[in-house]
Amino acid sequence: MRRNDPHTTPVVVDDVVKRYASVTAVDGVSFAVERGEVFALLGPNGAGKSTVVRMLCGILAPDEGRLRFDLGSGPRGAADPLRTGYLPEDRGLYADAKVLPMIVYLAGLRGMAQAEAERRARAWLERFDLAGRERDRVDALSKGNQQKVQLIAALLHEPALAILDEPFSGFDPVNQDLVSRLIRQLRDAGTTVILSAHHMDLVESIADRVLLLHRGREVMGGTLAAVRASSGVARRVRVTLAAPARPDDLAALAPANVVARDDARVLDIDLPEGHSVGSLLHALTARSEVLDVHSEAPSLRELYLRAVGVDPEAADEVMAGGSDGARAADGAHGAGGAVAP
Amino acid sequence: MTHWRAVTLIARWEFLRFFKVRELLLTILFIVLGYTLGVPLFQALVGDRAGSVSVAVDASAIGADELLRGALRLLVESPEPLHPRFAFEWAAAAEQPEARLLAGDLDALLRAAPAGGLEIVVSDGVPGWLQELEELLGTLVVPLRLAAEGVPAERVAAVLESVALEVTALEAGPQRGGLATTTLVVVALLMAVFTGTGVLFTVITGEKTQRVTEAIVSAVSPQAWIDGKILGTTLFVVAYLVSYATGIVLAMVVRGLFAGELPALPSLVTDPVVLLVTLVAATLGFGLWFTVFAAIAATVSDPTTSSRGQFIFLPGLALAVGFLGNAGNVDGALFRFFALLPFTSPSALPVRMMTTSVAAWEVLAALALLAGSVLLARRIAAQVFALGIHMTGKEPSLAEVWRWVRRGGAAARAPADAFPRRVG
Repeated sequence: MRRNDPHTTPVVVDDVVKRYASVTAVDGVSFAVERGEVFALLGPNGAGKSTVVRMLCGILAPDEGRLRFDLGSGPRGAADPLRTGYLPEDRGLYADAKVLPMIVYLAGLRGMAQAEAERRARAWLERFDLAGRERDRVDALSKGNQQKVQLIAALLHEPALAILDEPFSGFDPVNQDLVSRLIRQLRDAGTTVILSAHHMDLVESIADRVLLLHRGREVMGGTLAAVRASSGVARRVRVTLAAPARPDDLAALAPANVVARDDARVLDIDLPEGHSVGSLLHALTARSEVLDVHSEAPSLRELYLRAVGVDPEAADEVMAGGSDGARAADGAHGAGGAVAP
Repeated sequence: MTHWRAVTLIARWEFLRFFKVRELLLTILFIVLGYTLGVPLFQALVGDRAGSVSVAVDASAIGADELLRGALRLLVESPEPLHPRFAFEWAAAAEQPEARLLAGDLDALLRAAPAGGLEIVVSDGVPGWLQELEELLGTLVVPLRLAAEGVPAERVAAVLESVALEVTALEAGPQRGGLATTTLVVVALLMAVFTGTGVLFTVITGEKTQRVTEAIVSAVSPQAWIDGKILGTTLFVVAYLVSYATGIVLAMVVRGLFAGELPALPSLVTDPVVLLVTLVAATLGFGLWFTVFAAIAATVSDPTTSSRGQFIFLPGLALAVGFLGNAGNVDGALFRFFALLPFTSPSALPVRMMTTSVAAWEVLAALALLAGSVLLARRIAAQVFALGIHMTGKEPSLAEVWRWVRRGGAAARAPADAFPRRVG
C-alpha cells in the first residue's frame, strides 16, 4: 500500500521499522494518507498501531524507513505539532489541575493564544456537556469526562491532521457515538484523521480507508470495499439445515468456502464475488430442508481474522492481543527499555 | 513555536501549579505575627525565668579563702542580680539541699570541695550552663584578687576594661556579615533546594504515573520541557525565598517600631554586590541541582519503591559545605576550592563574600564555572530525561543511563534523528 507522493498526501509512511529489545513491533509498514480522509490503523492489542502513531507524533523514532509530511515537519522530524492534534492511547492529564487551565495549557503548547484557547475551550466543553465544570479539578471528573477533556485538548487548535490513538477507548456507547460523529465532522471540515482502534466494528462506519496490522506487519488495506474485494468474500451466509449436510452437499456448494458446525447442521459459507445468495439457496434447498438463513457482508473483524488465519469463532484471544508476538510487542513499550534501540 | 516560547509557557505552568499567592501572604503574615507577637507573648508567659538556674550556696563553701568568700557573698547578697540567668541563695543549714535538688526545687548546690576549691552538685549529668557559671565566678574573683594584691580600685577597673577595636580599612569595602547571616543564608539555600528537588521528584514521577508525558512530548521537545520545568521550579523557590526574606525583614521592622528603634539590617541586604552575587549564585545553583535531579527523577519508575529518591539528599550535602565557613578557614585552600566548584559554590561563594574579601577574579570564575555547568548539565540531563520519561515498569540501569549520556543531546532535540535508520 504505497503511495509516495508527498505533494498529494499529507502523510507518507515509507517502509518503517521499529524494534524493541528482542521484538520487532513494526516491520516494514508503509501507507499514505489522503487529505481530508479518515484513515484507520486496525488490529488487536500489540499489532503495532500505537507504535506507528507514536512515530508519527515524534515520540518514538523509526529504526528504519521514513515519515514525510506535506503539512510541515516538526522539529523532531515528526508531524508539525502546531498543525497536528494528538490523542494518546495512554490518556494523561494533571490530576490536580483545573479543567479549563489544563486545556488552555495543552493548546498553548500547540501554538494557540491564551484568550482564543479559552474561548474555544468553553464552546467545546459546552458541546461535550461539560459546561460549568471549567474550574473543577480534573480528578473530580469521571473517567469518561476526563477522556472528553483530553479529546478537546487534542482538537482545540483545529489541527490539519488529527492523530487519535484508540479514540473510543473508555467511552460508553453513547459517547462512542458522539466521538464517531465528531470524527465525521472533522473529516467534513477538511481535517485529515488518522485513528487507531482494535474495536473494528466502531471504525467500519467512519473510516474511508483502513490498514490492518498483525504483529507489526501489514495484513491488508484500502477502502472497505477494496478490503472486502481483496478477501474474495462478497457475503457471509449462515444456513441452518433440518438435517446434517452430507459431504457431497458441501461439495456442491463450490467454489464457496464452507465451514460446517453443530454436526453439519449449521453452515458458515463465504460467498465469493459473482455468486448470489439466491443461487446458493437454490443449490441447498435442492438437497436439504433449510430452516434459517442469515446473510451479511463480512465485517472487518472477520476479514482480519480470515487474513491472519484465525477462526472467528475462536478469535477472542487474538483480538485481545493474546498472541505471544502481540504480547511481547505490547510489553516492550510498557515494560520499559522500549525507547532505547 | 520557538523553543523559548515553549519554555516560557511550561515554566509559567510549573510555577503557577505550586505558587499560591494566598498561601504566600499567609506565610508572610505568620512570620510577622510570630515575631512581633510571639516573642513578647513568650516573654510574658515565661518571664525572666526563661532558662534561669537557681543555685544554693552552702555556707561551708566559705572557707579560708577570703577572696572566694567575698565573691560568693557578692553573688548571693548583691541587691541586683549579677547575671540574668543565675539566681543565688544561701543554703539553710537546717534543710537538706540535696533533697531540694532531687525534688527539682534547686538546679545546683555550690559548696566546698573536699580537696579544696568549690564543687557544684547537680541532680544528674553535667549542666550546659557550667561554663557560664565558671566565667561568672572568674569575673568576680579576679578583681577581688587584684584588690587583695593592693591594686587600687581604679587600676583594677582599668586592667579589666574590655578592649574595643576600631577598624581602619585600607580600601573602601562592605561591612562583613556575622555568623547569623551566613548561617541564615546556607539554611535558606538548603530549604530552597530541598523544596525544589522535592517538587521536581513529585512532579516528574507524577507525570509518568499519570501518563501526561506523551501529550506534552508530542507538542514540544524534551529539551524545552525540562528547560521549562527547571526555570519554573527555580522561579518558584526563589519567589518563596524572597517571600520569607520579606517576611523576616517586615517582622524586624514591625517589632522595631513597637520597640521604638528600627533594627540594623544584615550586611547581606546592605551590600549590593554581595546581595547580587548571592542571588545569582543561588539561582544558578538551583538551576544546576534541579537539572541533575530532573534527570534522576525521569529514570524513576515507581516513586514509592525506587531507591533513587534518596538522591534528594545529594544537593543538601553539597550545599551544606557553606556551614564549614562558620567553623573553618574561609580563606583556606579547601574552602576556596569549594567556592569555585560548581556544585558547592552556590553556598560557599556567598559565605566567603560575607566573611572575607574575595578577589574579583574568583567571583567571576566561580560564576562562569557555575553557568557553564548549568548549560552542560542541561544538555546531558535533557538526553536522560527524553528517554527516561517514556520508560515505565522498570528503571534503566546506570550503564543504560551512561549510554544515553554518551549519545549527546540528539534525542532531547530531535529524537527522530537520534537513532540509526535507513532511508527507504
